[in-house]
Amino acid sequence: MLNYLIKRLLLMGVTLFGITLITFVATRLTPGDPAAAGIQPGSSGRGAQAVGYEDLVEQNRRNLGLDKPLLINTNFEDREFAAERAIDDLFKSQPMWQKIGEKTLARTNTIALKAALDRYPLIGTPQEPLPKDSRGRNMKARPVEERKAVLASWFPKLALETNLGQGLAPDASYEFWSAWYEANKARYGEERVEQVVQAYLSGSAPLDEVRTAGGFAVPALIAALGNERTSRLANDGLSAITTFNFLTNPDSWDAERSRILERWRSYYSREQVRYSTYGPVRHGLNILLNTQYGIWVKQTVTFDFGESYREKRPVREMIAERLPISFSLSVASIIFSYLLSIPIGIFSAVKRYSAPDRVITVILFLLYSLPSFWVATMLILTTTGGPNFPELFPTRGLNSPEFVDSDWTLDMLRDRIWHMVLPVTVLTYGSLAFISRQMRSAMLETIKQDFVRTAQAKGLAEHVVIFKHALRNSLIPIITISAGILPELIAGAIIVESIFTIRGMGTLTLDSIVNRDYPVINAVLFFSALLTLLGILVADILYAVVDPRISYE
Amino acid sequence: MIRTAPNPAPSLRALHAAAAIAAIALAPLAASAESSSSPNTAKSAPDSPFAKYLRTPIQDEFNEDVLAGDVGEPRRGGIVRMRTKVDFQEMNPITVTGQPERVVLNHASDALVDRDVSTYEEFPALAWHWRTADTLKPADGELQIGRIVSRDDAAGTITFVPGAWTAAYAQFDIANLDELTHGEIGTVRLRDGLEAKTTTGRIRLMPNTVVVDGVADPAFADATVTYKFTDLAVWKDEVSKSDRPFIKPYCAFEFAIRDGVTWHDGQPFTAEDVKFTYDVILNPYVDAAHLRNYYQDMQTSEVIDDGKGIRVVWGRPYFEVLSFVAGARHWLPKHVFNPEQFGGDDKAFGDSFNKHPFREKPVLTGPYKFKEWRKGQSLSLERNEDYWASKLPDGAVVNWRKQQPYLDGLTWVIIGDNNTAVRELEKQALDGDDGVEQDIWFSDATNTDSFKNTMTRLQNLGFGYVYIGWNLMNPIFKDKETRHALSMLVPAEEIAQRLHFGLAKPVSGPLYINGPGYDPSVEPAKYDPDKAKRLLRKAGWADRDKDGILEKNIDGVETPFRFSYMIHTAKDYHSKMADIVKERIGQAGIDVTISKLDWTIFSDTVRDKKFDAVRFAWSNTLDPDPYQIFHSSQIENRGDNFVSFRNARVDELCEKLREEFNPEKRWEMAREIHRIIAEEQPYCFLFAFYETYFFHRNLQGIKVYPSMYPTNLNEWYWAKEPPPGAMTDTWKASTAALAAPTHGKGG
Repeated sequence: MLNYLIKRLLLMGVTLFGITLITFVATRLTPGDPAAAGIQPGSSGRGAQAVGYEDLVEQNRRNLGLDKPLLINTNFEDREFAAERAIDDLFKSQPMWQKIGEKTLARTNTIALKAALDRYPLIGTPQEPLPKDSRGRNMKARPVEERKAVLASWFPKLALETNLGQGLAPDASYEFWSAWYEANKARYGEERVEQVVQAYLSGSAPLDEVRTAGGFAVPALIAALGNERTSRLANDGLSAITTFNFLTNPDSWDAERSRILERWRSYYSREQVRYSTYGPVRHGLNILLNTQYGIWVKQTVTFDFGESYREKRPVREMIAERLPISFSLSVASIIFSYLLSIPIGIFSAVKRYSAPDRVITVILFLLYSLPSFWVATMLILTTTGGPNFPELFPTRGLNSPEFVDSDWTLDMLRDRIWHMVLPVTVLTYGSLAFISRQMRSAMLETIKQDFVRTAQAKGLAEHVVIFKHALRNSLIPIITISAGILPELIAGAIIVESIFTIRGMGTLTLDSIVNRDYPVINAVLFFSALLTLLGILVADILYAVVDPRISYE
Repeated sequence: MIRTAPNPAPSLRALHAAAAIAAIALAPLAASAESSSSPNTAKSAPDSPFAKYLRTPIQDEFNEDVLAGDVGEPRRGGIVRMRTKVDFQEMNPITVTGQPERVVLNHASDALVDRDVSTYEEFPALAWHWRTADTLKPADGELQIGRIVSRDDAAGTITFVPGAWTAAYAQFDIANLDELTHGEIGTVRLRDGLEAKTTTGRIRLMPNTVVVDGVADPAFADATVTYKFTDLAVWKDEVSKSDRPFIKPYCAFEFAIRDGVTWHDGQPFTAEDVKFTYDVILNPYVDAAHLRNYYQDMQTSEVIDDGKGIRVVWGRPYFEVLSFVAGARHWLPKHVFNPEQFGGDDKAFGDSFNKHPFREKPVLTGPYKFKEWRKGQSLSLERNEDYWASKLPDGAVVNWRKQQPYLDGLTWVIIGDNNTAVRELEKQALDGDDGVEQDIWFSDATNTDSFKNTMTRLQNLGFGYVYIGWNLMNPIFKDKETRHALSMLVPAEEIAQRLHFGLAKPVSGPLYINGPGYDPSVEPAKYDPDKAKRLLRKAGWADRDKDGILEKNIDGVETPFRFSYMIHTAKDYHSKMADIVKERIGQAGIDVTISKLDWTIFSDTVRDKKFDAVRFAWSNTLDPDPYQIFHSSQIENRGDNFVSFRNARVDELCEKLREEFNPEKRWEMAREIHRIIAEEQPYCFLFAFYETYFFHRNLQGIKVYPSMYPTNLNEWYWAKEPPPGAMTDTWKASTAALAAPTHGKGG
């Protein structure tokens, strides 16, 4: 049994992995761009002139990490990649992109110098890589002359040498700065940067010395932040290079230190890619990990589903809020349907083809064929008051307003149960018909068996035959169904929760799908998959418990 | 803990005291006097140019009690519980995109410069005064702010007055209003303490405000500068790809921030907050792409006058700029977000801003403040007892009286199911529903006597219109006659009657049917299959192979008249209409297939132009601006001109219209656009919908305006006893204070 359990649990892991792959592929292949969800062009009949809709969507994609390739990422995303992307942004015709590019270049400065010098001679030639969006479509670029002029104007700023080479035409400026770079590139060498930073931190070199290394010195300076002795110097160096100033008042370093360090760390952990270069191992791993699917799997494995695009809070928190609500409804509904349908099933099996059996059968089939949204609406129309009907139950929610934030008291519980009557009824009646029919046929099957006839022949009382001998054997198919009921209840809850305005998993599923809220869809599907698998596992274990003939050794 | 608000400016305090005496008397007010109760309204204020297009707002005309003269008096107290269909997404006014959220926020926030919904005139709100000017840039100099006096194209010169502005003040704030005459030069003197500056210029008296054109100020007579065109920098218009000459009219703005305005947490509202809001919108990492769109042309914004004012320079002339810069109700309290700690790290700030708890419980300046948001259940606002406008005398702020807002609180109850909502209305557990579906409107439950006795029913013609768009890239829709014929085959009138129960009005063009841009001389297309068939024959369509479907030789290819009609599945009546369209167009020998798509996929497909014909709808504004939908630049880049309509004259008019500041001239252009588009028929224009509402009968003061936000709960009050769930002690107290006897329960 234990071996079997372990084997099953391991298989569950593999199945879940497969499910993540399927849900991932399915969500990405569905038309409809989640990055476009918040942008509603044209609903008001004005605006949308200076920025194209596509630019805004592209920007959103980048913010949400949807610009990464789906499964395989062959862009070795490191500082060279980031520098080239910043130059691309600078070349786009929308001021919005230009500003983003300018800010990145100002922060990484020297790192982008080589990329800029390499790019310049390509401008206007057929080899020039023109700006593209993350789906490979061309974006509007600035005219050639403008691209040349703007890139040339960045050379001194990237070299952090604003006094040199002023007043030159773009081409002459390029000549000047390539010569300068050839003569000075030694200062960006790894060892030399390390030396300069160490010298600066030990107090033997001035700040200007570190500045010459620019963005290349950032990783070393970030590392030095942790050391109490050097953290102030490191902060000043970083501020000089990146133009950030987190210190609001030069004299209050001690008071603000921990906050400032936190700021630098969060900046660096986010923007590390702009400053670092990786070895082949890391690049190799990133081919698979630095993709949308890589991130998706990482989230699933760590149970950290990220943040909802829409609600901007951890998905885990949202699920934790909603799961107990749906769960209480489902559990109540399962209990009621079993409590009712097993006796009904037994009754109709024992009294088969009698008038009561036929009546029950007809009623159950009627119930089974009624769609739940219709029944829910009818119940609301006839049992919740109004001019022509009695007010028996509330129309919506799980608690009256006065009990919403209340603790678990007797009154609150009563109120809760009163609210749950209608939704649980709607969730229950369908499975009631289904399970009792199953129960009936299982019972009939069992009653025909030889051992039942033997028991009857022995002269045992009818109820002993039914309840002691037949019942346990006929429960097996019912248990199989139970595995399927859990996920089915979540699906059914979508309708019931929407109609009764209950904030459970059902409404969450619906909302997240309508809004293309990928992290939430991922989590919801993952949880339903998990519940289904758990249901099957539990059913398997119950088999063994109910039927001594079945064992998993 | 709410701090008491700092005292208003000294002079206002004096006025305040004077008005307090009047407030005690609380004289009964006729509802019609509401918008003009200012103590010194100018004697001869000319009408707003919008006046003839603004139907008087519906003023309880739907309510039999009102018609019987039984309106009751405005009194404070009670709450109103409105229905909303889905839970709100968030309440941060910058990042929120939904219309229902905006309705809530409108009651909790203010604009710098607001618009009087009954005259469409701008009036000072959070900014007590503002001014506008033109900008000009010499070829080799700095940008200059001032006004253009004249332009001589023959001589190639422009005369400019650096430093001159056109200023606007609330009538109430002008001390010498009686001395001013419309159209003449005069000097405006402000009430004591309001900033003792005076402005001289040509006076324009408006119903709510006084505009002073400073160019006419004699003091500027010697200051004029004459520039040659050749000395001025030409500005390049990225969008229309043309060079524009020299000046940008109405591109500089200054706003003077009102003293004594406080945020809901008691902190003062300052120009720094306004500047901060602009910066937040322009931060690329803030989830405000929808707003950033409008602010791309903002060149600079700076705090001036020691933090009492803000100056904005815009990059492109556009008649709507003032409403972008100052008309929005989305200002943010800088102190809540503490942006300094991010030291310029835009991304870190953006991330923190997007998920700041502010999105659940914002701190704003408006008449209501946030009380509680029970996710999935309800959202409540409560009256802001420190509301700045309620501390000013009646009339100081247009359309605002001291005892407003009357209601103690507003609650939006989230009820997804329409039948549940009707049930709650019947039980008087809801006081209103402003988004009633057409089938609910006509359902038995809402037409019983008992329902009508507790609820008033109201309909109002909405801003939007429904149409079928023909993809003009598809060769079968290429010629105009075919499109006209198709429009004649769609029985708009019959669909309006049969599917929408008459709650729809046929339209002939793309602009708001009661607005200034709609040319009423253009008739909506009439259903006329015979004429349509003749037109189709004329256009070269004939059933040559006798298969029952028309063919035409298009560019050498024999093309059958066959297309797919795309709809989305959000509403039931879309499919029903599709069936009618298929049948009627089919009768003329055209094969229509219906394709139904889910909304997100639908909108993507439309943007990718992968459709033949599509049923869609646009919303409008009162002041028309068809650029976004019909200018040819909006075809590319997945723009809104997805039918690929291209017309040189319409392009030209759309561009000119945006830069025309004279409303009459602008609307003349809009009407010409309407005529051209009706003639070209890129769409089959169908109808505008009526919006339908239910309100509790005891509620009064309800008006419905021709606006994106037709109702304003700040004006509502319980004239008779509210239902138990909406009753508060304040209502009982204010009713007792009124000498008039209280009315019994309505109905």
